[in-house]
Amino acid sequence: MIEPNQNPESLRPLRLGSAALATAKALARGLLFGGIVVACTVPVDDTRDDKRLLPAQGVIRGTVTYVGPRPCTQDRRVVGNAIVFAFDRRNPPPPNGLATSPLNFAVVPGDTLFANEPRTSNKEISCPPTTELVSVSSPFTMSPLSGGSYLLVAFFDRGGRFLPQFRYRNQPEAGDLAGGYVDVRDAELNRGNPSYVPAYLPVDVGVPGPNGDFTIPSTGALTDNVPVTIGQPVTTNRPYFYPEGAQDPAPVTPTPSNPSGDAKYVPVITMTQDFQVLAAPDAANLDTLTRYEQSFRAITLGYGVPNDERDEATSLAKPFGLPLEPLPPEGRGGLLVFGRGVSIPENARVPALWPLFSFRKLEEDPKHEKDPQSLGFQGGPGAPSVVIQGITLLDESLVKTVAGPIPANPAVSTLRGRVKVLLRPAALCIDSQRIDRGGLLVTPHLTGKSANPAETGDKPLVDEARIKQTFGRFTELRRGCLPTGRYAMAAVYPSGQVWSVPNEAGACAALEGNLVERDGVGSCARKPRPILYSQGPRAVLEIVPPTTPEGQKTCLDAPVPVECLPR
Amino acid sequence: MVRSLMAKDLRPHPRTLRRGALALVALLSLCVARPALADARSEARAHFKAGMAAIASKSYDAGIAELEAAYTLLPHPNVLYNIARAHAEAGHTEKALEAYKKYLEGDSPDRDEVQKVVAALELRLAQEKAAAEPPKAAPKPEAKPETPCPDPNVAPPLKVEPAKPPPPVVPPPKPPVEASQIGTARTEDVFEETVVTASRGKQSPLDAPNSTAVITEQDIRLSGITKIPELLRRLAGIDIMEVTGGQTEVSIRGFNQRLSNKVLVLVDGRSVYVDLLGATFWQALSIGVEDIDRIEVVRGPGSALYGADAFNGVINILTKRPGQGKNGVAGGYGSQSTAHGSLWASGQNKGFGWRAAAGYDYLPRWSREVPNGRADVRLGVSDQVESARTVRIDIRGNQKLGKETNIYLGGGLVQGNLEVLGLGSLNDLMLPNLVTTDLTGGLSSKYVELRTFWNRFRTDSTLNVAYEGQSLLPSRAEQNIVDNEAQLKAGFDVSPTVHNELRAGGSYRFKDVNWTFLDRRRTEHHFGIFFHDELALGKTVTVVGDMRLDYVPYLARFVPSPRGALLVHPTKRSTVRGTVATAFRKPTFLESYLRLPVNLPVAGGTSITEGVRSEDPNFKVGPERIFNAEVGYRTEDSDKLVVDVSAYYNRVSNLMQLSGARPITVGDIAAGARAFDPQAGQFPLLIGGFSNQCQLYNMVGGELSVRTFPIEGLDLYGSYTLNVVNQDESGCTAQDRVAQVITTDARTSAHKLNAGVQVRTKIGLDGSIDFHFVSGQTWAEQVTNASAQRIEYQQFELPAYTLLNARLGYRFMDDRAEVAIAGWNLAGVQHREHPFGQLVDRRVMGLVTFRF
Repeated sequence: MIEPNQNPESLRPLRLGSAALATAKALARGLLFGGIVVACTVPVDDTRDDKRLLPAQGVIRGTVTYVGPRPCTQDRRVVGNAIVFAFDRRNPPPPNGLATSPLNFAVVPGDTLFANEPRTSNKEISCPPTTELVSVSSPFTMSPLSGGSYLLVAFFDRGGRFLPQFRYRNQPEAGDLAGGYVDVRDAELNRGNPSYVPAYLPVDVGVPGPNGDFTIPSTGALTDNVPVTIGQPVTTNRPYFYPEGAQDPAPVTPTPSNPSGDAKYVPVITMTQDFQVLAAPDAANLDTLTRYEQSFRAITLGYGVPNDERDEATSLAKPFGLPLEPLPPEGRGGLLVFGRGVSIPENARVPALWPLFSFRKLEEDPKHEKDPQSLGFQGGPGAPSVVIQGITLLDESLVKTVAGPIPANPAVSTLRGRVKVLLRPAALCIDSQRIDRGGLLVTPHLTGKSANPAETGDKPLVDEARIKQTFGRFTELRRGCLPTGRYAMAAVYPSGQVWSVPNEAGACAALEGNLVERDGVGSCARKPRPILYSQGPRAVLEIVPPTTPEGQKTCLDAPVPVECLPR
Repeated sequence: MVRSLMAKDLRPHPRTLRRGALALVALLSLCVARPALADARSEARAHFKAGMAAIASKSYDAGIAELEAAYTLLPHPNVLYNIARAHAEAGHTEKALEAYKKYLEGDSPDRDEVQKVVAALELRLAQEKAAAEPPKAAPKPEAKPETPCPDPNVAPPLKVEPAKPPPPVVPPPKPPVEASQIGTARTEDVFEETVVTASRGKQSPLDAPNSTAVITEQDIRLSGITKIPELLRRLAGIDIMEVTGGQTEVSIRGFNQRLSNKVLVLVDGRSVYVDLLGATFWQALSIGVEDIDRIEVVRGPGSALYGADAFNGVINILTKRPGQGKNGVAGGYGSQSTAHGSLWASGQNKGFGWRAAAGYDYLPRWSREVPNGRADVRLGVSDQVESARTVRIDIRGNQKLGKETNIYLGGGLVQGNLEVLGLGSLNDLMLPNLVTTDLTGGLSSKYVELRTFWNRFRTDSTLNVAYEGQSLLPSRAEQNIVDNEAQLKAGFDVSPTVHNELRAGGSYRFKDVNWTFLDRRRTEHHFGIFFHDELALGKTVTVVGDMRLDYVPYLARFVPSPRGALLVHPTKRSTVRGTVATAFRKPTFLESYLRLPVNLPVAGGTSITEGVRSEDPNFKVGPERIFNAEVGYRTEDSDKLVVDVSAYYNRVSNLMQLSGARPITVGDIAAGARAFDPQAGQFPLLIGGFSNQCQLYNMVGGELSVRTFPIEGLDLYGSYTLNVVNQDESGCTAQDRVAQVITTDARTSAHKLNAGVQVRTKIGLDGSIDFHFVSGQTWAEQVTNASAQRIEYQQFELPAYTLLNARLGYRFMDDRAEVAIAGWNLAGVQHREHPFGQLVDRRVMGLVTFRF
């Protein structure tokens, strides 16, 4: 009988030197006594660590309840499925966190959820009027899960577009229904608030420990009867965008992250590590605001994809099928620019707008071998996530942004074909697994000249207290140069819908083969398919080393903090 | 107090009890045991040789006694024949007739000739009797005068010289015995060990072009082992792994694995390879250990004779011939309710022989992985205790057609449940409702061998355990194999000193597999032609050449497998051998056509493992290859000692592996890859499959086997195996290393040591002790790295272990009955024989056998 706490010595093999004695003893013990005693139980083997066993894990089990329009059907099947995502509560998805993918997800097939729903036998999709509402429910199970506290975010993929492995198809679109395990009362109280972010309730799996951690007992952990509700219509598509210039051929320009100067990886915009902006002017007028705006590095982002890529991007016959409607008045496409209800931390007169644009550092891959599509963010174990946030301008002008009026709600009138974003020379370095612990905000200059020439002397560039108030999740503001490297771009709506570039549409994966030109359209050698250059690896911001002696001195005096570097 | 003392005094002392029991056993032994040592081939052989030598020198009585001793040890019809012939030669006509008639009771190939001898001897006996009868008209002798009783008080009378008696009647001298009247003596060494597997024909191990070894019936009986593969552990160069209670994996000279696929296992020459998975399910064989006559093991590549899959060796289980042996019943019960039952019957009616056997085995797990009360998992059909439970039946018949021609027909059936540790995600797999069937028929003659068989393998399968919400991967599999083979044999003298043995033939193998996990029902037609030639240049040198061509449908090409050997006999009973051979293992149905959604650590996603790559349908997994060069030496010069030593070099390449998981790309979606599986309710995220390793393995090793029989009733054996593996990664690209995280694989023990002793006593007590030492191993196993979402090699250390097995038995009722107790791993060394295997511990069984 094997005991859990058995002395490992007993597992060691017999030594040859003691074989004779052992033989005699074993024979006596085994044949004379062992033969008489016939054990009838099989011992439990819990001493093995071979990763083959199913170690004790956590399970979330519950019910998905859908309240909404009847689903579309096609070819005797319900179109779409209910998707339930599990995020670590300590790192929720945008806009409150950085999680770009869930830790686990479960699927309740539409055929199961709508088991009694009549369905068409036609090959063409058939959608009943959205005014016909039904309420159905079905159980779901999600495993394996580590011990922890989770947020369950859910949606019903009414269009049947969801592909979990691709960023360009892994989120809800207009027409889908969203939900999760949410505070329903809080949602009711915020009905009509366009900036409302649902309050997801925690689902704890495992036994809570003193440090807020959870451990899984040896018998596993089951959290049962978790109600997930789906019923909130998603009214907007994702904030599809592309950085202007990313679709164009680039001259060979070597950079530290692209030493070969490969034209496909030339960043669409660069910023030096030591970049300095002017301080916000006390007196806001056309001149000072223009001067202030011009002191930033800025990038213009177009809606969707360039015109010459539109057909490839939107065709349902092609792998993308992006729902890019034309801009008004022909359609309801565009980026919804509207107020977040707060101002930017640098200046109380400048309102903060949706979409929220951010730039997140990618993993180093100077040879473009490991990640030719530039999809991998830095932020795994031992490497902090580094994020730079942008300032979204209304109508591509800081003056107009300040002058307003700022739309409070998303509407057709708030749709824009282009958005200008200013790049803040400040990076948040944070453990992406524990963003609740906060991170380090690093900026190369704490003070600078005012954008108003009338103001003399250096002024603080940032107000730490104010930043903390409006831009939390950092524990320290420190002077230091920005981490070099390539930064992907992302636009976020308050609904949590995100669009990021580069994405899979813009380049070939390693398994797809090299990029080739076919009939003037980019394709992949091994697995042909269109390439949307505007979504490719050029669509990045690269932070480059200083180009001036002053800048080099700045970075000598205030180097990149170790907290921002991979260990 | 007094009462207490009295009671105490009256109670037998424990020591007294023990002594009494021993005395009783000894007495019983003397009373009921016959002076036999059961089957001991070597000793019988020594008696036979001594007997034949004595008979040749006209010492008939001594010679016959030796032959009778040999026959007692191991009955053989030729010995009986020689006993009869010696009696006849010595003039013991009645005894000769008795022996000849007994000989004719068996399946004698020369029945007609011997019946003529019997007739002649009966006539002669009649003549002798007639000659011995006194003449009827002979005058009565005169009555003797009565002699009074001597009176001691009276002086004796004067001594009178009696009259001389008449001369005795001398029978007429027997006519000299002509050889033509009693047949010629059979001087060939009938007890010499022979093998049939190394060259597709009967030969001495001294003439085999490969290193061979044999497990005898005596080894089987005295071991007390009831699992067939476990019998092989004593042999050098054999790798045995007890993976689960019912799954034992066997390989030769390394590369053992879960569902071992590099050894071809035959039962009476019939392949039992399960082509579906490339595995041998030993528990699904329709025979028990009691049905085995001997097991032959050929080390080294065997594709030149047997085609694909005889990669690093061949194991041929030769069962008792129809008509051979007695009827019997055997049973065993032991630790954790391990149970074994077997019964058999055999009959011979002139030229027709038959044998029927049935059995039952229950094997519990060595250990269970899933304790009760787990909230996070769901279980399959297993009770977490049973590992294998099978019932089997096997019936074979043989009809003699003339002197050297036989036709045979038979079949077997096994039904039960089995637990196996499979590859990749099919680990801890339950096979409920397992059914294997075979139907075999053929013709065997001096020049032609024809055989056809149908093997059917059918089972359901399910994972033993999966996380809640994940699939237990239920499936149903059915495999039907029809194998046909024809072989021509010819032996002729090229010159007075040069003899040639030629064998050539062809085979056709039809395979039909219908399995839930395959992309569709698959049928294959395999063809093969082979050629084997042995050229004996005098008595000292033999040259052997083989070539086989196999058509592999999956690869759509022929694969050649050559072999060449040179044998030199320094003495009559020793051989120096040099062999060069190649072999291959073709991709199995699993590796060729799998399409299996595999659970991932995300509930809504799955990985599709597929043989035919959806993105590259022309991709083929190549066959595994081995090149072997070896030298060996075997001597049987002494009747009391057999030594076999081999040294080899193996170059193993192209081993098949789980390929690195390939993420589904946009291009796959563009090409129409299924984005969602509505049946499984999961999204395919990755694509897996199989590929060939970039690593090569250069192996150098050797085996030394010694078996000695110093005194009658005592057998000692020992063997040592050396295996040094060098992994050559020069052919691996950076991409290979990223995809798989290649690590060093040293799964084969560098050192293995086996030793044992068998004792057979005339009082019926038998005993055996076997000791096995296996040095530590470092396994490179492919596992799923969930965080990296890939399959990669990880290293697992397997510590060295020892095994001590023993059996103590007692024969009685003229050897018809036998009781025994057998223990496996008696030292209780808890260990694993595979890194993922169950925790092996001590097991003891009580065994009873009765033959009638």
